[in-house]
Amino acid sequence: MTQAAGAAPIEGIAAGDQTDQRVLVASQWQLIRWRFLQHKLAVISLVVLGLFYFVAVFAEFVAPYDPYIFRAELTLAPPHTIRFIDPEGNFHLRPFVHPFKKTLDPETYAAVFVEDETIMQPLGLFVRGDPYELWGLFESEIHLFGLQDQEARLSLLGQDTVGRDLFTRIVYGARISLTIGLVGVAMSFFLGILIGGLSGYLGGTVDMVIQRVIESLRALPTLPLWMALSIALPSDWPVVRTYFAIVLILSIVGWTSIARVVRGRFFALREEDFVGAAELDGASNLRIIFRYLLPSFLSYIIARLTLAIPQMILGETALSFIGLGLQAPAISWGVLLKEAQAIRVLALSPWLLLPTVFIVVSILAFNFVGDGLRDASDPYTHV
Amino acid sequence: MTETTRETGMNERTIISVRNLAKYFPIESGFLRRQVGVVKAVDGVNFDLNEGETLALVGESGCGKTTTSHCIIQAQRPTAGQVLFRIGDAEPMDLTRMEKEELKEARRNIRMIYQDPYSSLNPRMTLLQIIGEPLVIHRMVESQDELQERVAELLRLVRLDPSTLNRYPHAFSGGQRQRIAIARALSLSPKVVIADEAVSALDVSVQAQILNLMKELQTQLGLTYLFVAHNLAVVKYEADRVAVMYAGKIVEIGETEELYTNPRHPYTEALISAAPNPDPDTKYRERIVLAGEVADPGNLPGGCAFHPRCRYAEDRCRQETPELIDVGEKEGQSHLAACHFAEKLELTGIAGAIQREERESA
Repeated sequence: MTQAAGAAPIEGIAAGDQTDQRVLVASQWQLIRWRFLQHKLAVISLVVLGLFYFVAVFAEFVAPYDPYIFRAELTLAPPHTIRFIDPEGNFHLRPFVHPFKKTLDPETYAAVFVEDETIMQPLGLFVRGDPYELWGLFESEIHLFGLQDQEARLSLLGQDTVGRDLFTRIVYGARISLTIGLVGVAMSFFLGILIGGLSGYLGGTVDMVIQRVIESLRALPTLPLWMALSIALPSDWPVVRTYFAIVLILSIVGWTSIARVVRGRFFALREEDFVGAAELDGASNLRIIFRYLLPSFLSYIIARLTLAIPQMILGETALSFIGLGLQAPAISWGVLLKEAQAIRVLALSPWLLLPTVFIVVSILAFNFVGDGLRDASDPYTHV
Repeated sequence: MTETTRETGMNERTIISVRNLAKYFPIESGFLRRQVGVVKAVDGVNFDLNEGETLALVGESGCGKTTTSHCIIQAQRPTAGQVLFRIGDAEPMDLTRMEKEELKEARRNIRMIYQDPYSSLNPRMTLLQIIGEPLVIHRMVESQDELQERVAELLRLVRLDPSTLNRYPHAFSGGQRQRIAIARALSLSPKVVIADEAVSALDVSVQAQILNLMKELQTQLGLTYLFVAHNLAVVKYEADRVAVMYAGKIVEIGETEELYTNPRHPYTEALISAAPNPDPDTKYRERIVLAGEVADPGNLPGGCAFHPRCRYAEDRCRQETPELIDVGEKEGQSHLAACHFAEKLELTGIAGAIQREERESA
């Protein structure tokens, strides 16, 4: 009886088709990847994020101009229309723009930019432009794209209040705005796992003290806390130091939720039979932590962290917007928005609000990727 | 047999001897964690486990049977008592006094199978890793090839397809998972296997397969089982001897056949009468329904802990705690019971129930 009944289920598994076979021998990460790939929105978001980070890393190369060089005559110039068809109706394969001609409105005396249709300035890839040092290492003056005429300026997303190229500044801003989330979350991750791990592993009094500290920190309203801390930063600090100080300020609250999760999972997992079985197998504490405890909730933590990055990005934006975070000359999306605070801007130069679009897109992308990861990170519930 | 064991040490067949084992949990209360009481989960348990036999530890939930098994393997450290363990003719060693390293060695020979095969296997590891883990930790294999070979061998031993060793537990059913757990337990060629409700989480049809497998493995490998269970039908099939626990104490221990047909403790009688009888012809079997809950081990009644639920209880039971004494009638067999009236009471075992039915129907 044992033979017959015992052998049958094994044959059943062996007889499964090719896909089943793959699932049966798939590791945890493979299962996560498969499930993640089924989440179309998350995959698209991941591609978008990949693109954003590529741009942030190669900002000097991708941006057509130097973010600090201003052209006074182009102050608040609107975005160019990129054209393929000239005024005579001929089609050009290479896109071009008409340069702006600044005139005065005879009634309001306001500057009005009109396109000079007599001149055609073609766009090009890998054109020469403002010289730069990529990561302070490689000198170059080749930009990904721009106008072939070095003297002219392509106004892809308009110009800012002093005539600096907004697209260029958004590209440079991505560098700070997108990495502040990563660095901040990495710090939260580190603090959270360390402190939460101690809390969960040691238990007792240590656990109680840590939990009370976490509760106190979480009871503080975040915005006033950030404001108080950032006011304490000396205003003469260099940009990089301020950047890290801001990250630190953002992480002070960020780590608490992760610490709680880690502690809770530690507690729960230590009671799991398979951990007990490993102890009886003679596994050392380190082996249990790294082979049994951490792998069991790492995927979950990663998903959580992905969802935490947008909060960091928004935190930086909010602080910079109210003037307590990064300050010019540093360029971040929050700093760019701060420059667009005047009501006049909203009415006359709405393109200065374009950094918002990038903030929204990147935050949505992070959220979708986080959702996808969270759904995928527990593959055993669905298989 | 019993005459020699208590005084002069262990009987020559004894592999594990549990002596006065106790496990108390403090009851703490309030902010300052003041100890306000104690839960006597296991209190003065004595028994010997003989080589090659299956001893079943039965009782209701919360009677301390699982805690006893954990205290034997030192998954929980007992509050008091000794657990003597002997391999062959060597000097018996007291597991309760062992340090971590010594214990690691001893646990090569005493292995455990958990109740729930879904939580006892790490879902992040393949069969090769799960079953091979003890071999790797104890450095019993030299190479990856040897490990694969050993694990495949173990899979064959528990009747699983050895080609499945790269699969994860999620690919297996409950019964198959329990086979995997058995394979892991056997990977270090142990002498003793403690099965903590090893089939309780499984389907009845699968239970039989696992029980058969365990029995075959016992004969094949000369294993000794300590079988923790609450299902008397399972125990009857599997065990050579049975120890019945109530409120942290052993109330009766004896050969399975003898205990089932001739119980000497009222609690055993009630347990036997509560076990479902698969024979459809025995309709009139009397069921003894125990009133109330299992005694609270944090607040045990005085005297015999079972007296509030015992239908034979008298004044003496409320005042005096009965000792576990030999009440055996057959030569060469020990049958211990902890009841003041063990000798006097006419208790109904399995055969008794049948006889009574015959009387009633006649």
